[in-house]
Amino acid sequence: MTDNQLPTSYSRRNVLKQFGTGLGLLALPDLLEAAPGPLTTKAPHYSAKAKHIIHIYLNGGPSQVDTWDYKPRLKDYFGKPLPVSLPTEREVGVALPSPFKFKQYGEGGLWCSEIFARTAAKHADKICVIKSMYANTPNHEQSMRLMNTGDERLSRPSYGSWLTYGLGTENQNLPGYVAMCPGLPVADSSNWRSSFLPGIYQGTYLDTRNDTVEKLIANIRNSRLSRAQQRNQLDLLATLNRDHQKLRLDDPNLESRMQSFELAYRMQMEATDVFDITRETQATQDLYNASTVHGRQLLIARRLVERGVRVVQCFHGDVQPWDTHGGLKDGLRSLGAQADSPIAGLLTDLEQRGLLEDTLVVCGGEFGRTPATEIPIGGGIGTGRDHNHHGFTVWLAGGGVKGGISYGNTDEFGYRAVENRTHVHDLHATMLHLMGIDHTNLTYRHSGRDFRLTDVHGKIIKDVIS
Amino acid sequence: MNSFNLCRFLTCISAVVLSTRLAYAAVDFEKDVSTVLIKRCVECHDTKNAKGGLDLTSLAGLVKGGESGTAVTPGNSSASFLIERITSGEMPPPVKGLPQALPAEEIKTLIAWIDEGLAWPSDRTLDLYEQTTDVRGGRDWWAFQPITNPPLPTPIENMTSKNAIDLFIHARLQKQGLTPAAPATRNQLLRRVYYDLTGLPPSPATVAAFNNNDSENAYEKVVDDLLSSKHFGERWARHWLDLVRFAETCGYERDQLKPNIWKYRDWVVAAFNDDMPYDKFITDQLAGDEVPYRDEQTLIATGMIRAGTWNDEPNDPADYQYTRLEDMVHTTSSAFIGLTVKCARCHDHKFDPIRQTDYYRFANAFWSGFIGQANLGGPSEKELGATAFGWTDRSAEVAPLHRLINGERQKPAEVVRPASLSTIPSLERVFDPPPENSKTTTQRLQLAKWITDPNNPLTSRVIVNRLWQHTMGEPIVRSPNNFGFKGELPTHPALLDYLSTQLLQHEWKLKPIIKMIVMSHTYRQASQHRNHLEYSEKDYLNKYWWRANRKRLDAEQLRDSILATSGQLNRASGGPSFYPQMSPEALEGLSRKAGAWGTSTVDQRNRRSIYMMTKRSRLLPLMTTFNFTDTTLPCGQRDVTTVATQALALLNNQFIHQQSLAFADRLFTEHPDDSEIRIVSAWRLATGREPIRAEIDASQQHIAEQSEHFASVSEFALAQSSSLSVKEGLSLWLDATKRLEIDKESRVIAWGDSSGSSLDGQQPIDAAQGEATTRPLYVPDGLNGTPTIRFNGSNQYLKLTAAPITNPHFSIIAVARDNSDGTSHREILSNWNSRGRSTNSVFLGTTKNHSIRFSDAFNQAGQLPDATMPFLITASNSSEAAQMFLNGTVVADGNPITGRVLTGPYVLGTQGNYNSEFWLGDISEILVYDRALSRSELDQIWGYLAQKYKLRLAVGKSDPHRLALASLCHVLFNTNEYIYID
Repeated sequence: MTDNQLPTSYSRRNVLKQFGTGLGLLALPDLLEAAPGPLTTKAPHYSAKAKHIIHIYLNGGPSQVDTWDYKPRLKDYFGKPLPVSLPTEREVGVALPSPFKFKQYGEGGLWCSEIFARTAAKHADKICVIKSMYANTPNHEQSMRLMNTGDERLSRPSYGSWLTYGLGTENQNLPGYVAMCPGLPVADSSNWRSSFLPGIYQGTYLDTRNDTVEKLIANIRNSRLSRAQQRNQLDLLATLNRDHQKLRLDDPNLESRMQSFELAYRMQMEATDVFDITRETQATQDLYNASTVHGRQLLIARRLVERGVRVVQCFHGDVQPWDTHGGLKDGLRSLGAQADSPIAGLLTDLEQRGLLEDTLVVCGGEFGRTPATEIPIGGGIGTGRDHNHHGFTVWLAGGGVKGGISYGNTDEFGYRAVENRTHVHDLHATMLHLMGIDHTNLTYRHSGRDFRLTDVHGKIIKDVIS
Repeated sequence: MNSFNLCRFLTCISAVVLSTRLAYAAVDFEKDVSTVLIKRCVECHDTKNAKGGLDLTSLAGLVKGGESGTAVTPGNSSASFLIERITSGEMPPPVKGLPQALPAEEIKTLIAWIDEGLAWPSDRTLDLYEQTTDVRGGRDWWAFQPITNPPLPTPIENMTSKNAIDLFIHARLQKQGLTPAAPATRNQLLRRVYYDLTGLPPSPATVAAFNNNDSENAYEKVVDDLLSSKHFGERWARHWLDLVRFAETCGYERDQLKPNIWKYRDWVVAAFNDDMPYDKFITDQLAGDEVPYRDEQTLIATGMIRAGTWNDEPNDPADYQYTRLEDMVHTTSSAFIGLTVKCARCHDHKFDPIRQTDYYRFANAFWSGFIGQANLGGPSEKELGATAFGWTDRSAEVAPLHRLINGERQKPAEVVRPASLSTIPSLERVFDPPPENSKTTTQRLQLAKWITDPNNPLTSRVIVNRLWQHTMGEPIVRSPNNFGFKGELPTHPALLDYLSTQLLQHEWKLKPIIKMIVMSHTYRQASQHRNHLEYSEKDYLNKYWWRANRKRLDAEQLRDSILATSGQLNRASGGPSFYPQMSPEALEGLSRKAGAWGTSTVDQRNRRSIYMMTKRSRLLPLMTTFNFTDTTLPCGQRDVTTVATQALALLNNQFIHQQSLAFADRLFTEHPDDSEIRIVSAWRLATGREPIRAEIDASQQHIAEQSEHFASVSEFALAQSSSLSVKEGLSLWLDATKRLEIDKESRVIAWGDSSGSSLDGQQPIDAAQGEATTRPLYVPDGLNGTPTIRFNGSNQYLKLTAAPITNPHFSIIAVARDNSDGTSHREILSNWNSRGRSTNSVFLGTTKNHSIRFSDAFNQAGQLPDATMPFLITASNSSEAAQMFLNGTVVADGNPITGRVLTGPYVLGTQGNYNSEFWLGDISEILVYDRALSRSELDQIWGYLAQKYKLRLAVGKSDPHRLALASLCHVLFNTNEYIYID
């Protein structure tokens, strides 16, 4: 896009123009509301229902044929090679029918296995299951980056950074984009990086192995200065930095760092509250199973979107827990036990509070798994599945999504997306669309050209939008 | 399309081609055909894995055809199966669902070539790796070509600089229609070169001297001084440690300490300081045990090989050996030659001409070493022959290393002989077997010889690129650890070669190259350009160097600068690493198996960051927040992020508070009488320049406002006091002016408690001694004219009637004097005894050199400055920290002391066995609080004791002006000017 196509221009130069002068005002807390900053709410390209995203990231590659993509035909090939075989990371063997029971749920009759039985039983009619997802590469790192940033290899901004850049956020006391994980997922901070977008849009990462505010966000409290004194410090700091910047135009880093101090100051007020889940009733905590890390994360996610945070990602666990190369039966059962009731709880809670309407919930991993067994190193039949980027499942709910439907299909074994094939770029285009952003029009000029999340790809999946 | 239609279609195409063919010149095999075959076909149809039985690397293979029959009919493309498969889109097969159909031009070329009779020079065999295509790099890739000695470009018009670097840079700028920026100011330049060469800021005196030095070589003199400063090596060694994924522990759950690996760090520092030739630098690290001049230092250098992570309980120890091998190959190949050789562990490299066998050739160098699970995965010190954490072979026998199919141990293929990479044919060599009587295989030595061969174009290019990177801020090849196809192309290839040539001419010495760079105008230009906005539209990334890059201090520079500015930096070099103070939050979750976090004295903690313990499971959050390296993988370039959590760290972290106060104290000490000079001095120290009037005024206003705030907080206002007002939690209060029962020889029978408390409903705790021979002496004016109890250091002590401590968080405060010679343990208060208390008791006492011990968990808790003087000592253990104060100043800060047995018996003047560690000296007053006290409470108690015993506390500690000045210092630390270097 060019700078004059839209009333609100998001080019780097204009962002600097608009906000570079706003800093002096920011220093005065009374005028905070009025002062535009890089995180100030900006109008979407068109009106849309979704204002927030909670992305429940089942990192490691959850198996579609054991959860939402029911493939009874696999039983016919039990112990035999499938007629389809596609290149994945490792060598695969015979068909592995799902060891889990499947049922149809809700008016839409969505199939789901016992792994997500609670979520399906309570919420099937809110959920839209996209069964025809595909990605490019059967490797975690690349596919994690693709799912989060739209590019497998290069340093590109995450979709959360893009959305925060494009829409700002509704709560100036909290980061616009928060990424939570007990530990670190594969590809670490590249999953939530801002890359060439200003650093203020980077996801703020929280290690949710920690259960108190002080541990979640180091240095959240000042033990020596009162708030008034700290405000005094920041006012002087802003004055000095502004003078410093006058002679150093066109360095977005200087501006970003100034903003980071203001955000840090404001976070001190709000963060001590928002991350303290003990302020919830016992009933709400129980609804999420909040004594577990997965429940706690999702409850914090709800508290964050309730306070206006734009994008919240909850990664299931350290490294890649859903990577069930072996021991699939027990492994998936235990992962499901961790994830299912918190997810069901989240959807219930969002609905009860009227938040589901404007919160888009996304759930899935970076790819799926093969319907055939992975042959273990050293031979044998195998008890798990290999990575599969040819076909996998992601579901959406809330935020203007059509519930109780499934979209697209894999082949009869769940190997490859064949009907309404949906690339990750298409998912991104749709997510942005649901948030009121035209993915082809949210651009940022860097290194001499305009960049966008979906590069030259991406088509909006109209059929999933209500 | 059915087959009938397909045939017709092909016939049509052929007809068209035939009819237009004459318009083209004859097809040239080398120029036209080989490139298409290599780019499109040979990946699958090579001799080794001829897909479908078809080998397209030779004429014979082509003529023979594959499983589907003949591939070509010479002279008749339309009857050639090859063309049919290509035009149908079946070949090359789709990748990731995307068709790979050949461009029409290439199809035409192949058709014409076949129709013209299939010219193929005799003996010509195609090789996938011989040339670069649009999907992979070949052996003709730029980085593998010999280094040229490029002619110097002609100086551009009006150019004054004669520096060769500027000739290259300015010529390119001119070509792009750009001009270089004006020179940086003297202040900017000095600050820049100090940080780049030493990682530390210049002192105000240095700034003044430089500004007043008009001589032409003033700058050059600074550069020479910095290059010969010991701080140079401390800065540049850190870059190297990143590259070799250095840390001092093994990682994984137990995260064991690697004993003596700090010596490797010191070796690297010394190598940079001594300007060790880079070829020797490489050779010693790879083969310090095999070099003819082998000594302890060269053995220490081999620590590089085993500085990576090490798993003590791998799932499969046999597999794990190959994981370690990969770590070693990856580290050495990326650090020394900038290639991703590790990608070839399982298959031929997808993008570079590195065959799978190359990986195993290279890996052979390490395979004969102690790669098993014993002794933290390496030779013992005895096996190595030095007190060092290094590497050597198990014997002179070259252990056979098999190529592994798919990289899997269960699928061994042929044994691969140790050799160089095949990537550069002119340098390719098979390594010799070890000479007779050799103790090692000498394979690493031969690998080092290959890497350091002056004709190896990678080695010198890779290192000069790094030198450019760490002075200019960005490298010439902007992927410093990958010079291959997936890396970046050099922005200035001729300059890269020029610098490489210079390196060899300077016999691999790095300092002359660094000097050449920092002497150039390109380095010395300003970071702002008068056409800044226009130029940054053209070249946002500043690839042409039309200005200097503004650089943000990295984690080490930031921490070291703060210490230097506050005056706390301890510039001592070398030796074992110190443990920084960690918050309890950061320490929590440290696996018990990983061992306790150590403690270091305040003095040690103020050393430069390169001497900080790098424990892989517990890196200091302040460092990681500011993008410290990931210690598990070689890191050629650190990330630079800007996030709110960094701001939180710099606003609220204890370190920044401590250093802001220390900075303020420094200013008060240096300029006790003039508040404006203190402000000016603060600016000079923090920014390296004179503040302008407005800045001084703003600073003064800040101090005025903040001190008003501080003064209004009553807890900061008190100074000396005649009585003790903090009574909450006071469980024991022995005061030599009160409640003493003495015998006729003035020896203490009992010393009564004045606390008025009775813990757990017990009676007040008294100190008593029933045995007449072991009673300490009451001296009425023994300590600054006030009463004291004097202990003889050989058998006198007092027993407490009950335990004064029941809470894990507590404070002990005493006024005492140590008259010992400082040669052994002596105790003021202790509950130690030999019945299971050897590691979990509570005691406070002194030991060798009058250093203070506060339980054995915190046994280096500061030192008495003057042992004969009475002192006020405070030992405090809270949930946040264990701290030791002397005369109102913190002298040691440690992690909370945990796991103590708190029950009695407690004694004064000896250990709990009553048989040893007797106090020699005085105790006048002792207060024990069964809780941790706040700083303001301590202030009150100290005020009372200082007045009573005429003790001099550090002056003005709670002065609102001091705190307000500290607040200004804090702000200066946080300014963009402090952290961004122009």
